[in-house]
Amino acid sequence: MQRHKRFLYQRYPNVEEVGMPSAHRISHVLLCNVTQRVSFWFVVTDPSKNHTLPAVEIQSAIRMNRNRINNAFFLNDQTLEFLRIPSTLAPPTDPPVPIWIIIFGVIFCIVIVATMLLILSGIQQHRRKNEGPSEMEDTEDKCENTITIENGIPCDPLDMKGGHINDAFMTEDERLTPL
Amino acid sequence: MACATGPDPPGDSSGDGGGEERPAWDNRLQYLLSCVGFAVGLGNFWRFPYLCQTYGGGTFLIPYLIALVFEGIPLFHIELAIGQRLRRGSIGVWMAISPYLGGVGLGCLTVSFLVSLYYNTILTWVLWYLLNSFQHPLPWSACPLDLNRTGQAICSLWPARDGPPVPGLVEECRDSSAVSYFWYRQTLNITADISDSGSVQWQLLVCLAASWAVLYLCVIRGIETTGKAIYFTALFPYLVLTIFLIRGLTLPGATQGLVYLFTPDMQVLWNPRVWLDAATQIFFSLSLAFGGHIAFASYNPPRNNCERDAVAIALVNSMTSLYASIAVFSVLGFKAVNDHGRCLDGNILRLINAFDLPDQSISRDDYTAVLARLNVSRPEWVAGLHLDACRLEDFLEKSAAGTGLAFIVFAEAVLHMPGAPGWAVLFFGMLFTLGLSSMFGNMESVITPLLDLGVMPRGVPKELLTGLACLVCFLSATCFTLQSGSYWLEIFDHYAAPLNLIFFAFFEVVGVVYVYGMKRFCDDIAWMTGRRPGLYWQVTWKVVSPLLLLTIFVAYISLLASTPPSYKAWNPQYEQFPDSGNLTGPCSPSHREVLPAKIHRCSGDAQPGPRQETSHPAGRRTLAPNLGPRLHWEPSGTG
Repeated sequence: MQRHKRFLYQRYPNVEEVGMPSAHRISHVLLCNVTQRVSFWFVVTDPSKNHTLPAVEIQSAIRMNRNRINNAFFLNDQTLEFLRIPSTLAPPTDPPVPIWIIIFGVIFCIVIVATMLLILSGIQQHRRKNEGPSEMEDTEDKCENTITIENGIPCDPLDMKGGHINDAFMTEDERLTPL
Repeated sequence: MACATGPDPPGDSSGDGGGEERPAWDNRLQYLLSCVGFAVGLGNFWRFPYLCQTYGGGTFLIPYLIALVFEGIPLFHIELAIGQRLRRGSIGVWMAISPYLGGVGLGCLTVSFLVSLYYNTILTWVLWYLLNSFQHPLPWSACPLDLNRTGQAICSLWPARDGPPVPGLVEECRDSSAVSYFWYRQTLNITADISDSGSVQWQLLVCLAASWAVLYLCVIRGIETTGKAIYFTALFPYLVLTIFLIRGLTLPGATQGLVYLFTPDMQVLWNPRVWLDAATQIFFSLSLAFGGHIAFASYNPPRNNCERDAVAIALVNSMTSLYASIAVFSVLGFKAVNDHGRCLDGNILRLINAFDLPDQSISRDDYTAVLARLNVSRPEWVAGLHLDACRLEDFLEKSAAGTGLAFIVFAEAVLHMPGAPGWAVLFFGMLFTLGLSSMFGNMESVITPLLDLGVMPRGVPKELLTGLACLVCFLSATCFTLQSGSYWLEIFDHYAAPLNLIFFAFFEVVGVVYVYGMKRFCDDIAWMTGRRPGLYWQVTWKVVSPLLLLTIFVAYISLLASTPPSYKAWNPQYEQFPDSGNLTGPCSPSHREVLPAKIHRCSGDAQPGPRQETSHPAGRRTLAPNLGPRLHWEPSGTG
């Protein structure tokens, strides 16, 4: 979008660099159609004022030195526009590796590592469960084989053989003597 | 000892296929969060607000609440109760009720499988955007340059109107918008036609692998692992929604967006489509008939108050929809005000240039007055400027649902917030976790029945089964990473899932109430919850819900039958680009009958104008493919 700023045209700086005769001065730049809001057409004549320099050369000169012209007036491409001279856009800064790949790599590695850990712990749990019941069975067998002997008399561990009825205690029915 | 005589436990109550104890939730919170996470999905975010806006704001809540009370909650209660009682996945439950109903379970399993395929593809897209959000500037903020690298240094969202065509930016991007270009070209690399498959997009394939890997990590041991993951995936979206709500409400334009959303329009209640959409929205929003809730409830202790759970989860789901719509529309209001302001600025600049007025002499507020004055004094000059008609309502009306809301509209809105990459990361992270928690339910509804069926021999660990399921799903879903993948996804979503789910839900209700027996079911619930179901439950189960489902089924079929199937396409070669002044409605369609499908072609245009959409279609006021039974469900081709 055009937006024009007032400025004083001091100097046409780059004539020497384009290889033109260095006799150009500000008096060789002619302005016309000047408006209040600072827009104008200009042509550059050669020192002898015989003819105007071709627009193409001026345009290429401006295009090459656009930055210097802008900086001289503290303007930029949006605020100082040369009609029919499109600005050269800055090249996009492409990082060597796109950022998304880096982050993807990080996330993927974390996920793979976590999955491996879970699978391994699952396998370990599985193995422990398989060994667990077989160990339990071994200890039970051993218990049954050992008979504790005290004073030469084998004791019967009460747990192993289920409940005994202890005749010392009377049953419920017989507590009350019949009438 | 006379214990509380419950009903006879089913013959193989510890059915886990291996004689082992059935897994159980660590605590009740995990179960509730899992059900909430399954129910609350992407549809709560990008379908419900769209419906609210389309159907006159606050008025839409009326049919929505009615549908919730008479259809959503009763069906949900049935699923939870039957799963908890029979303690099996969906196939086991229906086989236990009657062997002839086993097909329902098998159907639910198949639909869950199909939905998993494309739902995770959407998560792939979200993941892609999430990965690309970690940079500044965001890649969808500006158009890439073409090889010439010359042109006017102007943001591509506002291509120059006054001068010759800008040669520096890529043409497709220049003619639509940077955001659309990033979505259609750099993400999907979409072809113009579904018959043109194109090649597999490697960046999407890689992201697909990552999202299935993440999902596998979370479901690897069934509810043992999902129960841990759900704490984060179910709660994080609420946190981000709150942050967005607070941020959105403080942005300029939020009130306009909210007023626009909730402005009631009572006339809309006479439109039968509203009732149909409300009923289907509540149905798909609660994720009914997938078998996922049955699976989750089957891991509960047998005596758990499923009635309270059903009501609570359904209400939380609806509250979340409302909450999300407030957050969404405050941000959309901000975006609309922003776009409107820039439209005004463009007009003001042209006026200033044309009439040689001092710089910044016209503010946005003065614009209308100044324009009126200039129109009186120099009408021919003003007419020659071809000013845009900048009306705030037009920007607010740019409705969007489905992926268009997330990947185009919201992505653009986020660009204008200060600290855009941070907001983008939060936003796409929220979408990812929203979708992931729904995927847990989907995968459970696939894996639990397989486990119950005992498809794997006894010694095989569960990790292997879940791994195989995820691998099969990943390989099948690679078709969605083709260039025409999003068209396939849209078709899957429109035609594969919705009708089937309604069908299965109908048979679920009928199966439980009439085959299993209402009396037996009520006894079961009385045993589980301590209270017999009241009149409301009995009436809705016996009469209201089956009738509602039948009506929806018939209505949907008739809608499908009345229009030929179609899908929306993106074609940059389309000769007629929408122009600011030309259109009075959506962009000009090109109706081309290709086999049975009709293609609506549209190349987007970001320039503001009356009622323009920045991408598709004729006849529908939505931006991009509407998706998902839970994401979106709308018979295509209808307005």
